[in-house]
Amino acid sequence: MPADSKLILRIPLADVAGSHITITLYKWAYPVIMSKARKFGALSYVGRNIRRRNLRSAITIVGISVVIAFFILFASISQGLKDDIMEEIARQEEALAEQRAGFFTLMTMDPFAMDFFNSTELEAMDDYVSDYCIEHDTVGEVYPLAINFLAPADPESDDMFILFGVDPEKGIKYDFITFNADTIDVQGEFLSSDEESQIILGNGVLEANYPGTQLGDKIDLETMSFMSGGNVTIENVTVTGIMEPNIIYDNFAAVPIEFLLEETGMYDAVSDEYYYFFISIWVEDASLIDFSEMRAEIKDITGISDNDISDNENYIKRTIIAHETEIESQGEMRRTIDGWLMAVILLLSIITIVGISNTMLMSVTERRREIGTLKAVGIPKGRIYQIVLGEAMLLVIISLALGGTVGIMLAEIFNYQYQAEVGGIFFAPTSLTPFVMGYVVGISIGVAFLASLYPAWQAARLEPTEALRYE
Amino acid sequence: MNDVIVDLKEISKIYQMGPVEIRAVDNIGLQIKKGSFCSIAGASGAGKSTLLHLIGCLDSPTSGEVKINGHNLGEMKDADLTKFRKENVGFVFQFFNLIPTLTAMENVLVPAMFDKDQKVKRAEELLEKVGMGHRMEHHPNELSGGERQRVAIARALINDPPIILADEPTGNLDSETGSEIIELFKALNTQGKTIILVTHEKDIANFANRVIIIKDGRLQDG
Ligand SMILES: Nc1ncnc2c1ncn2[C@@H]1O[C@H](COP(=O)(O)OP(=O)(O)OP(=O)(O)O)[C@@H](O)[C@H]1O
Ligand SMILES: [Mg+2]
Repeated sequence: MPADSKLILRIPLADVAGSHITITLYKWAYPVIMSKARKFGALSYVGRNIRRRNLRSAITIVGISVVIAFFILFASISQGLKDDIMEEIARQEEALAEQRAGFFTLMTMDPFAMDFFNSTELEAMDDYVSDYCIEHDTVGEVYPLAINFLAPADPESDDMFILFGVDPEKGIKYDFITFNADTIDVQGEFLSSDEESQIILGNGVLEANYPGTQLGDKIDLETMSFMSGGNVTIENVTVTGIMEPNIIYDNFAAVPIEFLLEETGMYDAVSDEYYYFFISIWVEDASLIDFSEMRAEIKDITGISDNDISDNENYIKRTIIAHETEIESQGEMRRTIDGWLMAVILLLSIITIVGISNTMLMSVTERRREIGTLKAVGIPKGRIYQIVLGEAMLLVIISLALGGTVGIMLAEIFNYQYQAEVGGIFFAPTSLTPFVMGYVVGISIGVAFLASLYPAWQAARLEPTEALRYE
Repeated sequence: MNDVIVDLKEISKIYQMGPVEIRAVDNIGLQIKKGSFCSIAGASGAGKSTLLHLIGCLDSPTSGEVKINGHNLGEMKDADLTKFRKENVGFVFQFFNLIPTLTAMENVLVPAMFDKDQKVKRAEELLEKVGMGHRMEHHPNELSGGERQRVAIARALINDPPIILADEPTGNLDSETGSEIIELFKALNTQGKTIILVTHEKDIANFANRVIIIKDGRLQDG
């Protein structure tokens, strides 16, 4: 583009729902266009042929424009519907992936049964679960959790503050709860594995028990444990993080698990046993594993009773089937839309073929003498093809410009009405992606080309003598 | 030998109309010299147009050999024939056969429509030469019959062919205009073009330095 390119003309064609279509003509383009226009060649001849039959050309152009406008509208609606369906399928697939996750919970339900895990059992279970899951093409992890309580500062209150002991690296994963550095919003920091004496506080705990406490302050924890014979006070614990207000975690606080176990006497160093322990085993895709097999093995390793293990196998199966059915039916709808689109493309193509071939056949028939003359003066067959095909292409390109503008405007109006939820007859999501525009243009030109092949062949095979005989 | 530009050997053109055989051109042998002015005369239906079309390679003979400008047309493919025609033969028709949507200028340029180099300058010169310099931007329907034929002659000359063929170029003109057109052909002939024209007007035939008379598809005299 030359440096002095100066705008001389800008026509805003459509300004609908935030989408602008403009025709812009730059100064430098003018002499280029005019020199092409002044030069006499095949293109001016073809253009003149269309103008000669201006009424018929106009009717053909209007007809094809209407077809193209509908084509664009329908293609964009079907694309819009498909986009919606794809979004829904993606949502379902995401939900499905989440639902495929399964978990076991291991918990001694009877605190006085005194049948607890020791660290050897925990390690064995950890190894077993990760190996078993890798064998079954999925991922499984063991999340140990110690649960204790914080006494409310106000003895009258029946608040219950839960104190988690969690692995600072892993956090916890249990059913819908994912409690770790990535998922929990905290001011300050999540627990770190290097520091033992640290706590993150839920907003509710902070307000009720430690009002005015700031990040970095040291606080004393009045813990209440069922197991270790009553309350233990842990002094000088650093507040490393304060959780943002959250309906689930407001009444929670969390400290590193080893720290909690040791300070509250929930770990017996002599017997190497953990007291009052809760373990969750999380599996990424539970549909790939055999729950009963895993369950039997866990019982073997830990020696805990059947009652103390729960799993969500049946729940997983039900929800997976529900999502799969939904995805299936969305896919079905998508195929239906594709089918309709194909039918419409076929119909519109037939209309275009009839329109173009009829116009071009008439144009060729009434110009037999003229075409014969062209052949007599030495215009070769291939050029005659070009002239006839060029005429059809010119018709379809003009129609594309006209019908395209109308179609894009219609699509925008439909979409605007849909997004604004105004209702009415103009009501459908539309999506005009480059892909949609590409295939509308491609199919229109392709169909017009095919439709004019026969008339072009008719013209090309005309004998010059035969054409000259008639008057 | 070298100055023979049209060399026909025993050519026939036979049309099969059901059981009937029409010998439009019947075993004609004919040589035309380079730079000559030939006229083909004969009754209606004698085969004049058919013969002219064979000479102009618009049509191929049923049998026999056509040699134009040293080239044997029987050996040429359709595409080569078209190219040969463009370079060697200019046609002038009875009904002018101008393209109504194009100006005089553009009509003259039609045979060169697909050429890379635009022959605008040459077209202007030719239109001046046939006396149409003042009507270059006119469309055929704005021109008289004589003027149209002048434009058609300019068109026949655009690619500078050595042979000009005309099938009753004055058939649609009054006699005065007709003789003006014939004058034009004579002028072209003096500039070296070989002119072959079909006519059944006696006095026009007299201009020619050779008159070929056809009857029932055969030559009447040598
Ligand atoms: N395509 C064709 N099919 C069948 N017969 C044809 C065909 N073309 C010409 N003829 C016949 O061949 C004969 C010669 O025709 P041609 O056109 O050469 O005559 P002409 O001498 O030019 O006559 P005119 O002076 O009337 O133009 C005629 O009998 C005509 O009917
Ligand atoms: Mg004739």
